[in-house]
This record gives sequence, structure tokens and C-alpha cells, in this order.
Amino acid sequence: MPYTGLTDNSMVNSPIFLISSDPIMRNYLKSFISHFDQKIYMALNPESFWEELASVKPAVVVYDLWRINPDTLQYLQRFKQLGDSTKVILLTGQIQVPFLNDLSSTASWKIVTKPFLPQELKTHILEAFQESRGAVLPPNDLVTPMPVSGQKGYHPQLLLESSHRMQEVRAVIDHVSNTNVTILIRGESGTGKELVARSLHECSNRSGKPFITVHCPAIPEGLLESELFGYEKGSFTGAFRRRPGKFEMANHGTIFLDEIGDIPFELQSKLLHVLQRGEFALLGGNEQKVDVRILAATNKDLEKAVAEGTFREDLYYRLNVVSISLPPLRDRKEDIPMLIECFLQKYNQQFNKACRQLGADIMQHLMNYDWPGNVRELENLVKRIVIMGQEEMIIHQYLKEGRNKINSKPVPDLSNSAEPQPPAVERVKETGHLSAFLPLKQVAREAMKKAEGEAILKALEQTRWNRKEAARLLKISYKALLYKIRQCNLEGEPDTSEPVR
Amino acid sequence: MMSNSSNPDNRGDNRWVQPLDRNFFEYLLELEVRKATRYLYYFSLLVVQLDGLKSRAADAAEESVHRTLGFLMRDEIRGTDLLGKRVDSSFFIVLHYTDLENAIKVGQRIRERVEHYTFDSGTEKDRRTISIGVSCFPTTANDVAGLIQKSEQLLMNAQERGGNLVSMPD
Repeated sequence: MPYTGLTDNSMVNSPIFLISSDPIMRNYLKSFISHFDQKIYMALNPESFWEELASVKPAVVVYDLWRINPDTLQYLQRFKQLGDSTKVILLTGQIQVPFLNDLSSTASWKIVTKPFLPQELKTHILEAFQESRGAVLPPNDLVTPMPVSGQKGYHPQLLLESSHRMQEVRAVIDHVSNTNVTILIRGESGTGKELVARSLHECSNRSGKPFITVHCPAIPEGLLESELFGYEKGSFTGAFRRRPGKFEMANHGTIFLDEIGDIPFELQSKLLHVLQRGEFALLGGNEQKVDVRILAATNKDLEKAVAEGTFREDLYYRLNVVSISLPPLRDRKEDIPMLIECFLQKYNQQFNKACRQLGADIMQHLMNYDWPGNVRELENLVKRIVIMGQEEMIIHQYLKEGRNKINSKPVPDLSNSAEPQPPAVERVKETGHLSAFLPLKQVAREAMKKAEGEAILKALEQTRWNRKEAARLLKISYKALLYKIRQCNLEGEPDTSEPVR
Repeated sequence: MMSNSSNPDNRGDNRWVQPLDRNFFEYLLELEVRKATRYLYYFSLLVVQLDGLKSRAADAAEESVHRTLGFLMRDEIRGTDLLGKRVDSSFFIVLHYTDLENAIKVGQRIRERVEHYTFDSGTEKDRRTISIGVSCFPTTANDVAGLIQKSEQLLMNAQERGGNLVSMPD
């Protein structure tokens, strides 16, 4: 069965078969061929749909011969069995192969060498239709250039996502990339906000210039200003030399402020100043001009933050000149097969593995899942499958865990909870799920508390709960020990510090 | 790499006066740009050339002058800074953690040192001068091509104005 999620359902009586193992090329060809208004069958290799191929006997087969392997000749021989009524357009970059030269002399074969022009392919397809059945194609206008695969600047992953909503995103990128307007990219975590920002930069006329990413929450609040704007020598204790900031580094290029919603309120006015006047000052220094395009991203509700007074309204309007909203993966599930294939290829290559395509039933399970972690979650799952193998077991276990987590009630905040909770580290170990992770600081705090409790208990047991002696063993003061015992809920044993008379 | 010998001509290590392939020079500079972007620091590029170079024959005596010039410059910069010779007989210096203001000071120091030095090429004793173009990352430019272009352009400006000058961006 061909990829059901990718089959075009626009029914016309003369289908086109498209075979390509290169996902980017396949996506491009699909988009190109869709202009002929024919039903399209797509597959990675001819093996996948021999039966349909033999029964339908299509007018045209477009075969992108990406790699020539031992099976290739066999496939080509089988194509010959289809007869002269089926025209095969072979797209290849390898013109020196002898058997391809033999084929080029055959009437039912057209060899198109890559790279080719869209117009060239269009002519070949039209000719193939006319020669095979005298079919007259609807007068679709193909003059408008197609989006070329590997289009300059676009991240390949963005090109793969063929859903309607992602096509809209690409259309916005095309419109605004060459302008200098500030763009606010919004979307849930893991939807690919940074990919969009990078594509915006690469598609713009600033593409050869720096692209500087600042992940705002990763920089401590007190340091963010000096990171962004730099500082002069001697402007504060420890400023031994002048240091440039990210804005100066990004001069003539693009700066991407990730998670802009987390930027401190005090710094927002300085950021507004850069946006309005294109000027900033190093800490303890003079104002200087920069030519920087600002892209910002957030997964927070900035309107709510503005209403609550935690985000400046004027900055919000400055940033939100053009807004790109990235849909969550659950709203564009038709992209899942392409993305899985792309990640399989990527990690097969990275880890030198040969993980095969996923079966239809597994794919169905993946299509039914909600993907709370979006594309990032999908990518990590594919990575795990490539590394570990046993895809069926991994996917079933993973989806089961994911559903349990979604169906369960949200975990209450430990710090405010009256009920005792298992330590964060153990909770993460138990669930093993991404979203079970707590902030690292909290994990460290709880781990430390647990380790301290264990050490104190061990010391108390060794000294038969003689706290003074235990404090000496632990090299802390008696008072500190009492405090720690209370903190770790270790009270309850009689104090034997003073001998009973 | 830096020696304390008082006569620079006597030093054996002359690797920094061997001409460096342009591609390799750009590769070195690309690394510097990446490091400076990653660790947020300034660095400066100085392109140095002997004045009146084109009118002189590229013979063994001139080679000796170049070698001496290399040693003089090495003496004036830190051991961790980069010094090399390019195929067009100009030298480059990369000063790490150095903004434009300080790079100009170093440039002036090198220029004065060369101006007052008597070059002994074996056959004759000679006084020579140099011109220097200075650019700074990221103040002047923040990519390799921009830095090289700006330094070369400033060097040319200095030479056109009569030489023995350190030229800096406006």
C-alpha cells in the first residue's frame, strides 16, 4: 500500500506514479505534478506498488533515480514489462551509467539529467501524456515557478512539511524575509520556532551576515543586560576589559531573541530603545548605532502578560509587527510521515544504522498520538528507534506512557503542596517521560535534601541517636543538625545526648 | 615563541615569515571570528606592509628585511597573538581581546619600532618604514571578508597618504 497520508485524492482518470527515495525531491515533485490535476501515487521505490502499477498501467511514471544499487536494473527491467503505453521519465544525475544510455534510445523512456528546469520537466510530462494515450491535459498554467527543493535559505525540515498550515507559514516567510520588519514567532515548545527564524535570516539579504541566537531564560537575569549590550572596561567590579554584547556581534545581521516573554521588565525598555532607534549603549559606555534585524519567539501568552503588567505594551506592539504562528503537530498530522522519514534518514546516517521504514499499523498509532512535545518529541522518538531498534515495542510503550501522562491529573507544585510527594528525581525515573522533568534547580534541591537526610540518619543510627555525637561526626553544629533533622522529618527518636540517670 | 634576545636578527625561528596560503589565512581568521562570537570578545586585524615595497626587487636582501620585520613585530605583540606573512608580502597580526583603540596603540608602537630600526641586509644598512591598516571585530566588521577588505583598504589609504602611517576606520 502506498503512503496513505501522502496520496493525492484529486481523481482524474490518468494517474501519475511518482517514485523517489529522496524526501525533499519527492515533496518538490509532488508539488510540481499536482499542477497537472492528476491523481498521484507516491512511493519510495517501485517495489512498494508493483501491483497498482501493473493493474492501473499509468500514462506517466516519474522515477527519481537517486542512488543506483543492485536492485535498480531489476526495477528498470520490470518497467519495460508495462509496455509502450506507459512513459517513464527517469530523473538522474548519473548520465555515465551504460544501461541508462541504452534506455535513452528506447521510445517509452525519457532520461532527464539533474539539475533540470521546471519547464523542461513540464514539457516531458506533457509529451509523455500525448505520446502514450493522446490524453489532453487540463490547461493548467505551470509558468509560475514551483518552490524549488532545497530552496536557498529554507531549513530542509520546513520544506518537508507540506500541510496547508505550514505552507501558509512558508508563504509568510517568503513575503517578509527580505524586509527589515521585526517578527514575532509564536508556537508551542518544539514546533520549530528557531528553524523559522533561521530560515527568515537565510532567505533575507542578510544571509551571509551573523545570525545570533539569545536564549533569554538561559542567561541569569543580572547578566542578561551585559550579554546583550556588552560593557566597558571598569564599568563594574570584575569588568577587566571591554566586552562586546550580542547586539554588536549581530551588527548587519539578525538577532534572534528566544523566549522573549521571559525577559526582565527593566530590560524591556532598553530593548525598546534598540528597536525604535537602532542604538544601544555598552554598560558604562556611550551610545552606538547598530543595524540589526530583530526576530523574537515566545510560547507564552504575551497579551496576557501585557494585561498583567509583566510585559511592556509598547514593546509588545513593536515586536508584533508581523506574527508567525506555528501550528502544533497535532493540528497538522499529515506532516508526520514526511517528518519521520526525514528523521529516519538523518539518524540512520548519523549513527550508521539501517533502520527501515515504519509499518502502516505503527504509522497509524503515531498518527493517532497527540504529540504534546511536537516535532521535537517526534524527532527524539525516531532517534530512539534508530539507536535502539525494536520500533514496535518502543512505540507502544512510549505511546502508552504518553497517554497515561495526559490522562492523569497535573502534578501539583511540590513547594506549595501539603501532601508529601516522592522526590523529583524518583518521579522522573518512574515516569521516564520528558514532561515529568522539573526545573533543574528543584531537582538538585530535592536530591541534596534526600542525600543529606540519608547521611544524617546513618550518623544518628551509628551514634544511637546521640545528636551531639552525630553533629560531631557530620562536622556541623548541634543547632544545625537539629534544624536539618526537622527539615528532613527525621524526628521521633529520643535524644540520648544526655545520659539517663 | 617570543625570545628575549636583544638582536632580533639572530633568532632561528622564522616560521611566521613563511608566506601563508590565502585560503589558510582566511580559515584562521574564520576560526577567530567563531571563537570571538562564541566567547564574546573583541579582536583586531592589522595588515602591515613595508613602504616602497613594489619598487624594490624581491631578492635575498629583501627577504632578510622581511625576516627582521617579522621578528620586530613578534617582539611587540603577545606570545598568544597571531602573526603571519601573506603571499603578497604583507604581514597580518591578529590581536586577541583587543578593541580598536588598543589595536591602534599597538600599531603605532610597531610603526615607531620599525621607523627607528636600522635594517642590516648584509650588503647595506637601511632605514625602512611600514604602513598599517587596522580593523576590529565586531566594531569595524563582523565577518572574515569584511575584516580583510577593511584592513586592506585602510592599508592602501595609509600608503597613498605617503606611508609610515597607521590607518584606522572613521
